[in-house]
Amino acid sequence: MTDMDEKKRGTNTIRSSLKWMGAGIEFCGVISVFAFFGYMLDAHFHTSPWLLLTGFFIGFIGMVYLFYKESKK
Amino acid sequence: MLEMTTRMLAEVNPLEHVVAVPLFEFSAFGRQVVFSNHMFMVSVATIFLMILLPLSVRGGGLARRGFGNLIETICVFIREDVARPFLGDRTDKHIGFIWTIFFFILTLNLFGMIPTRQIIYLVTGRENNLGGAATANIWIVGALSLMVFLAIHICGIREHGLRRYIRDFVPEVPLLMRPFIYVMEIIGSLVRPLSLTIRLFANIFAGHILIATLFMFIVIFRNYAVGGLTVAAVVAASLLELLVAFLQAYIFTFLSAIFIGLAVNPEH
Repeated sequence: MTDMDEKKRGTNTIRSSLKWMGAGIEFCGVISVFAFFGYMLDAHFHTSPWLLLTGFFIGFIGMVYLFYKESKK
Repeated sequence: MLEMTTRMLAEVNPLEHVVAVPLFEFSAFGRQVVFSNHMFMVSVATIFLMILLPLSVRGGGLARRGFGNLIETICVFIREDVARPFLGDRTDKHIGFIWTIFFFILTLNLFGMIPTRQIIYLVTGRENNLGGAATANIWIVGALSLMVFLAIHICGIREHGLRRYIRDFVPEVPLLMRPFIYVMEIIGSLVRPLSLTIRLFANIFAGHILIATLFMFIVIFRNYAVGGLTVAAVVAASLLELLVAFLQAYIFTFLSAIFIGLAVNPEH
C-alpha cells in the first residue's frame, strides 16, 4: 500500500468518525423531546409517571436503533 | 461569605454586561420593533465584513500580501480541511455559506470583546449602550442556527431533488418502522441546530460573565493588591476568551459543514 493510499484511508476514517461529533447531544435531545411529550400527556391524562417513562424508553430504543442503522451504512 | 455575596449582588450585576439593552424602537409592518445593542453589533459586523472582505481580496497577483493573505489562508483552510472532507466535489458549490458563517461568528465574537461602551464613555463622557457580545444572546445565535438548519435542507433538496431527499432522509429500515424513524429523524434534525445554538451561546455567555465577575472584586475590595490580582486574572481570562472566540467560530462552522455534508452526501 502506498503512502497516498494510507493517507486517503486515514482521511476517510477521520471523516466517518467526525460525523458522530454531534451525536451525543442529538441522542439526549431526541430522548428529552419524547420524555417531554410523555410528561405533557401524563399531565393531561393524570397517569404520571407512566407516559413519561414510555416516552423516554421509546426515544432511547429508537435512537439506539437509528444509530445502529447509521453505523451500518 | 453570605455577607460578601450579598454585597456583590447589591453593588454590581455581572449579567448587565451580557443582556440586551433596547436602544430605540421603530414600527415595521404594523409592529413595534425594538432595536437592541446586540442588533446594533450584528449590523456593525455585517457592514464591517461587507467592506473589509472585498477590500482585502481586491487586486493582487498569485500571492497576496498582508491582511489579504491572512484572509485567503483562513478561506483555504476552511475549504480544504473543514468543508472538503465532508462535501467532496460539491465543496465549491456550498463553500460561500460556510465561509460567511465562519467570518460572521468570528467577527461577532471578537467585536464582543472590545469594550466599546467604556471607550465611548472615556472619549465622550456619555453613558451609552453601544456594544456587547451579540453571540452571548441566545436569540441571535438561534437565528444563525436557523440559517444553518435551512441551509442543510435547502442544499440537500437542491442536490437530490425533494422526492429523493425525503426518501433518503432515513436509513433503510423495515416499512413498519419507517414512520417512527421519520419522527425520530425530524426531531434529530431540529436538535442538531439547537445543539449549535447552546454550544456557542453558553461559551460566549460564560466567558463574559466570568470577566464581569472578576471585575466585581475591584469594586468590592477597593485595594491595590486585589486590583492587581484581578487585572492579571482578567488578562488571562481575556486571552482564553480570544481563543474561545476563534474556537467556537471554528466548531460552529465545522459542525455546519458536517451537517450540510450529510445532507448533500447521505451515503456518508
